[in-house]
Amino acid sequence: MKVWSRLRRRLRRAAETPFEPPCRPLPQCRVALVVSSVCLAQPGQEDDPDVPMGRPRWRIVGSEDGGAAGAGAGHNASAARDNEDRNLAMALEALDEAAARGRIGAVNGRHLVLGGPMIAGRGDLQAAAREAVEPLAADAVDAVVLVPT
Amino acid sequence: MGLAALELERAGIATVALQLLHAAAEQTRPPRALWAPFWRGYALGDPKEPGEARAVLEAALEMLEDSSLRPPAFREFHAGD
Repeated sequence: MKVWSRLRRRLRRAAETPFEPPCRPLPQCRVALVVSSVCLAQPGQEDDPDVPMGRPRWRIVGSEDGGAAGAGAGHNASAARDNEDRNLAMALEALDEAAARGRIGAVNGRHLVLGGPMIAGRGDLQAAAREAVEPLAADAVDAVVLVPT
Repeated sequence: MGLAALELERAGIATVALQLLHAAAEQTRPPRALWAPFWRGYALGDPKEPGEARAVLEAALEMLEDSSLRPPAFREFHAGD
């Protein structure tokens, strides 16, 4: 009985999860990165003065920035040596290479970076998640790789 | 990451989310999640080893084009894959 109920729960969750295959073959897809270091606040964390909490905001980072602007958003922002490496937070070099050899169609001209190392409530995170759609849909992005930092 | 992935998928944009923590993937259940066994802040591996970033990215792209996956799809990346 327990197994059946667990299975039903899993099937229901699967049905609730939106799941889009890329609308065209990957070698024709425009791909963007979405980078975030913001974590969902856990019970009790809201009152912890050592954990910054707030309403996270998106920053738009152009491919021509080389990802350097995005690197500072991460949990290792104090590691200056690594922050100089444009590929710490954003895999733009690897993504450019994938486009150059035809593995993907194109790298989008802009990418999204959310907040900094902080926590946020579920409502604020959901609002931020909805805001991510508009700029990427406007660019006709087909697929996104989401990267935690 | 998971919440953004869900909203993007609802808008018709396919997503794959790199994950450093199993718990995070289980909590937000993104449609496609690739667990990478690296330190927090290094989802693409050592930035001085560009081969690692390429391999992680390739594994993520493979998930995007794998039509046999059903949500929430979870895969583990192993260096040397």
